[in-house]
Order: sequence, then structure tokens, then C-alpha cells
Amino acid sequence: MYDTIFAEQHNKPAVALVNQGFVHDARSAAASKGVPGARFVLTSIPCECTVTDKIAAGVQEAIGDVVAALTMPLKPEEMSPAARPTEVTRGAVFSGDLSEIQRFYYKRGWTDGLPILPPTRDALDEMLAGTDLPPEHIVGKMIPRLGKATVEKIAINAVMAGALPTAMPVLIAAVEAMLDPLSSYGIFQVTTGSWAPFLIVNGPIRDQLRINGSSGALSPGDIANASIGRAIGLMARNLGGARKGIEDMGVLGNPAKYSMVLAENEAASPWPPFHARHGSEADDNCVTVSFPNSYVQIVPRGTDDAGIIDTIKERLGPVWRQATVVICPSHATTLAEAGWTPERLVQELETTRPPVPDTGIGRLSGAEGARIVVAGGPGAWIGLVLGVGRWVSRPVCVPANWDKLVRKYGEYVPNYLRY
Amino acid sequence: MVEALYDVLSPWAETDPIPLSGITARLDDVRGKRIGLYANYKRAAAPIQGAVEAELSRRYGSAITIERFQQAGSNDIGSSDEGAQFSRWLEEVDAVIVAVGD
Repeated sequence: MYDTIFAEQHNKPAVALVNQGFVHDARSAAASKGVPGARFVLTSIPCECTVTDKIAAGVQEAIGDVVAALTMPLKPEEMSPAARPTEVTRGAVFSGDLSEIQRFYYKRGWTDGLPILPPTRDALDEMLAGTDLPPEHIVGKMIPRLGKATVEKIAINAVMAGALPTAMPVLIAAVEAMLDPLSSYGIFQVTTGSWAPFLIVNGPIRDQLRINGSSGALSPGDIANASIGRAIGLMARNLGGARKGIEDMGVLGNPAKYSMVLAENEAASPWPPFHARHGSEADDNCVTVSFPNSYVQIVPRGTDDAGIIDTIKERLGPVWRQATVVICPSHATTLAEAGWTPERLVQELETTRPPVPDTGIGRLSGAEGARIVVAGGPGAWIGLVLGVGRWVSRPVCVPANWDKLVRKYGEYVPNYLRY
Repeated sequence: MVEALYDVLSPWAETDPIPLSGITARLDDVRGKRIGLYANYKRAAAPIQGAVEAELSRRYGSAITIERFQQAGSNDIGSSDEGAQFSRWLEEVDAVIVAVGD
């Protein structure tokens, strides 16, 4: 619809042909651009259709309405649209007990389906201790709704996600990275491919927040990994206004939208850390965001360097666009001992790629190739995190009282009983 | 047992008021007009564009003129490098039919 709005804004009467399943998306897109009356015609043409007969039949069925949309006089509300009532966004919005609050938030579409921690004023104040930025500071505006990602709203969503205040610096940096146009967040959040934010955290803050980069780094069980990703997902919904089936048109969805966050296992890596290989200093704190939509895990057919690399190449095949190759420490050590650096490995993957067949699937811009990150615990698995966009990194800025905060929250760890 | 009561805050973001605009006055007739057919980057868009052209030609023949535009990149065209090219193309047409492939 953005194309249609663009034409209208250039004083050209326009109409879009839209698959009937995208009616809510079309309306939201038009409203978010300030042209709620933009006309569209719903069609029966299947999405991404390659069947000429079905396209022709769908167009034939719709063409009368298309011509009418270009010629029928405007209704008053199309000429002068009225503003919709705005949501209450400040101050307390509900008072009740815990179960009532869960129901209230869920029924308003403000949760990811899991219970939340109630964002009380006290909880918000505690969360805001995690940053020196003022609550009203606007980190950016999140697409598609252009909701203001203020520090306060980031903190409220972080409270709901169960994050500790020490997560705030990472969350703020992650939002900055997501809102960099290079990340193409605006496309990935709403399009059909179910792309999910994937955060890689580097630097001393990994250990300070106890972000897991070792065994089961991408599994549940670590408050930092779980709540940081969850908070990002809640922000996409509550700040960006991307709700599934309405604006977020991901066809299958993606469990990674609950959370996909890992720390690089810098201590076990034989190589310079990920962020230091991509423009930061090794001692910097850094978060890197990308938007993959799938994740496969593979065991190499041999544990020497050739076995590891050949297996990665086989599983990537010819058509990959963006691959974050997550290498476990034992394989990284093997590769390093054989003289492989991440740079040489990436070059090998990119230069030996088989010819790319013409898949006919839409041209997606911004592909950047492969990057290597070391994570995971003991064992012999490789992760391929696959997407089509770019990686965007931002430094993580901690508040002045950081050491005190880390001491206060750093001992908040699970103590598993032995049995 | 009485549960504690909580006063809770909204996670929903504020937005700046978006200036609302009406849509452009419609054509009195498509005949005699230059109709722009726009296709975005999705693979079904260009075939839909082609089918629309075929159907318009069947109905109106030489009474209308068709101009086509195919988006190259996958970003919002208004904020992409193609925006200027699209703007110039828009100047040459009287109305636009957009095929988005979904």
C-alpha cells in the first residue's frame, strides 16, 4: 500500500490490487501513512502466484472494481478523513489484581500470550535505573505505527518481559540497531517471511548480564537471553504496532519472535570476538541485530576442518543470502588449529558457492553474505541462522552506576539442584 | 485471601499526530487517459501487471495508453533510491494501478 499512498501523495488517483487475506494490513498501512481512504480492490489471486491462469482469472474478476476505484467520485470521508480516537498511553491504565491484569493486557493485544510482570510505577522506576537517559528520550519511532520508542516505553515493555534493569542498555542499543534503515526492520517486521530479531551480544556486558553463550545458549532458562528477546518482541507489538495477521503478515510465524538472543562465547573462541571483527574494539560492549527466519543445526560429517567446512557448504547450498554460522567452540578450535580464520572461512563459503538458480522469488536487497560467531557448549553441532538482510551493530552504553547495578542484579542466577 | 492490587502503565507507544490527507480526485473516465501500471518487487506483481494490461487493452483498446513501472528494490519505494525515478514516472501518468504480488 505504501506505493499506492506514494502515488496519491503525488496527486495521482491510485488503486492497489490486494490479496483478500491482506485487508487489515492494507487498512493499517494506509492509516499509518495518513491516507486512510486509499483505495484498494481485494482479489482472489493467491499470494506470490505463479499460475498464469489464476492471475488472469483474478484480474478479470477484479478489473471492473479497479476501474471503478479510479473513477467513482470520492465520499466525504475519503476527501476529509477524520482522526481516530487515540489510545491512553500515559499514567495508570488499569487497576486490579494479578489475574485481572493478565486478562486486561492480553485482551488488549499487549502481550505475546505469556503472562507478564505488571508494569507498575515502582517497577518502571526500578527498570529506569538501568540507563542514564531520561524517560522521555526518544530512541526512535518504530514502524509501522511510528510509535515513539521512548526510554520509558522501552522500560515498561522490559518490565512486562521480566527483564532486569541491567538489560536496559542492551535493549536501547538493540532498538537503535533495529531502527537503522540498513536493518530493513520495517520490511522484516511486517512481511510474509516471519523474520525474527536475532541479537548477538559481545563485550564484557555478556558476563555482567550473564547472557548465555555456552550450553543451550538459544534455549530457555537464562533470564537475560529470554527477557531481552521477549522485550524486543513486545516492543515490536506495542511500540511498532505490528500485530500478527494485521500488520505482521508472517505466514507461518516464528518461535524466534519470543526470543533469539545469544552472547558470543568469547572465552572459548580462538578468534577475535565477532564485534571486533566488524568494526568495534574487543573491550566494547556491542549488540548486533539481524532478521533471520530459520535456524538449522547440523553435525559435520567429519570433525577435521574439511569435514566441518564441507558440511556447512553442503547445507547452505547455492541460494543462501545471509548466513550467521554459529560454530561451537570445539569446531572453532579445530578450524583455528588448521589455520582458518573467520575471514578466510567466509571467503571460502562465498567463493565456492554453487551457481545460484533463478528461483523467481522476489528480489531482496541487502544480502551481506556470511558471518561467523562462536557459541554453544561442549559438543559437535553447527548452527546456520539464515536470513536475507544485513547485520547492524550498535555500542551498548551503560549508566554511571553500572558497577553497582551489576553487583545488585548479578547474583540473580538459578541454582539447580543436583540429583 | 485478598490479592494485591496493582496500578499499571500502558506499554502502547504514543505517536505524533499524522497529518491526514484525502485521496486524489478521481478520473471522470479512463478513456483518453494514460494509465500507469506499477508492479512491486514480489514475483507475482509483474504477471498481475501484465494481466491488468491485457484486460484493460481488451476492454478499452487504443482508448487508453498504458505505462509500466517495475520496482527493482524491496524497500518502501518512497524512502528508497527509486523514489525519484518513480516520482518522475508518476508525472507522466493520469492514474495508477498498483500490483503488489500479495
